[in-house]
Amino acid sequence: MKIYNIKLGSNIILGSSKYPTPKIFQNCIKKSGTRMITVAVRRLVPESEDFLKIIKKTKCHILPNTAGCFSAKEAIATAEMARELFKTNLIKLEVIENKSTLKPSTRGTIKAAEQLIDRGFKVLPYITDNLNFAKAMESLGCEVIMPWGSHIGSGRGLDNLSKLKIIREEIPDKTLIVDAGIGRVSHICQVMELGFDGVLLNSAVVNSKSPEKFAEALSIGMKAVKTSIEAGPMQQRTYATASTSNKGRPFSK
Amino acid sequence: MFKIILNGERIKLEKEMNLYKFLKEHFSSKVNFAVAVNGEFISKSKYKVTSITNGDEIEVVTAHPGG
Repeated sequence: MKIYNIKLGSNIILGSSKYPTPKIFQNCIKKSGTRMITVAVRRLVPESEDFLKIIKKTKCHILPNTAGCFSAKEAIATAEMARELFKTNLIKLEVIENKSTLKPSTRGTIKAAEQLIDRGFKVLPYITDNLNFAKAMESLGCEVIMPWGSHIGSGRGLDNLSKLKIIREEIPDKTLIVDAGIGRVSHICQVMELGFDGVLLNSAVVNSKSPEKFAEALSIGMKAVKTSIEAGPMQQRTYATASTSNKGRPFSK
Repeated sequence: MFKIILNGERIKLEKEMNLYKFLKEHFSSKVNFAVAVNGEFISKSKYKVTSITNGDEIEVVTAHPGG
């Protein structure tokens, strides 16, 4: 999938949080086949490791986030600090309005995106599945838009398939990624079958019993669903159509 | 003597100084960091021309795992 001018070579963006060990993190990157990793910025404390060095070793593209920001002002300052640290204009923009649901703020996200784009950032906004929210991001010039599937870390999958489907239909030319809520490989299949370009996930991997095995399953699942889409699945029908021909059926009259 | 807030903690400073000197005195680690003062990002090139004054809130951040 395309992330601004980057042809990623993978449809999976992986979060870098909560892995049991750095080794498991590295293995999950390899097994999932991801080429882009999300990272955050947090206060420097004496025991802070140089996570930047760890992340650089992965050779993946870096996508810093503004996780935990509750205002456009905080998000803008965080994005600026991230740009200096990670040497990238890419920013996963999160401006949250509710602590329990981590629901993104429409007003705050629009305000921050507007200013960040003016400052030369390539913004990947985390939004709800609301079409107007998505269209506002498109109008501002976001080349990548990331609606939630369900709440961050919930693993519930896609709460509202039809709303996501409408976003895809109304915004056919931008990269659309489901960010948040993915819990299973089947959710990834649903995302791709809606015509989305990819997924961004973290909790599904690290909260599985075997993160490395789950990362491998992600890669296999993604390959399977993409191949199936290329094959052109049949149209769904309301009524039954017999697979076996009625011609020559015994007892027929 | 005046007071500032560094990464959420109140600290006292004996004398006024610029941000460059302040950071050098308080962060000896070689970990890369970025800075905001009073909610505004300050680029590395401006550390020497940014003065720390009474009541300033300074955030010093680094790369961290995130989703």
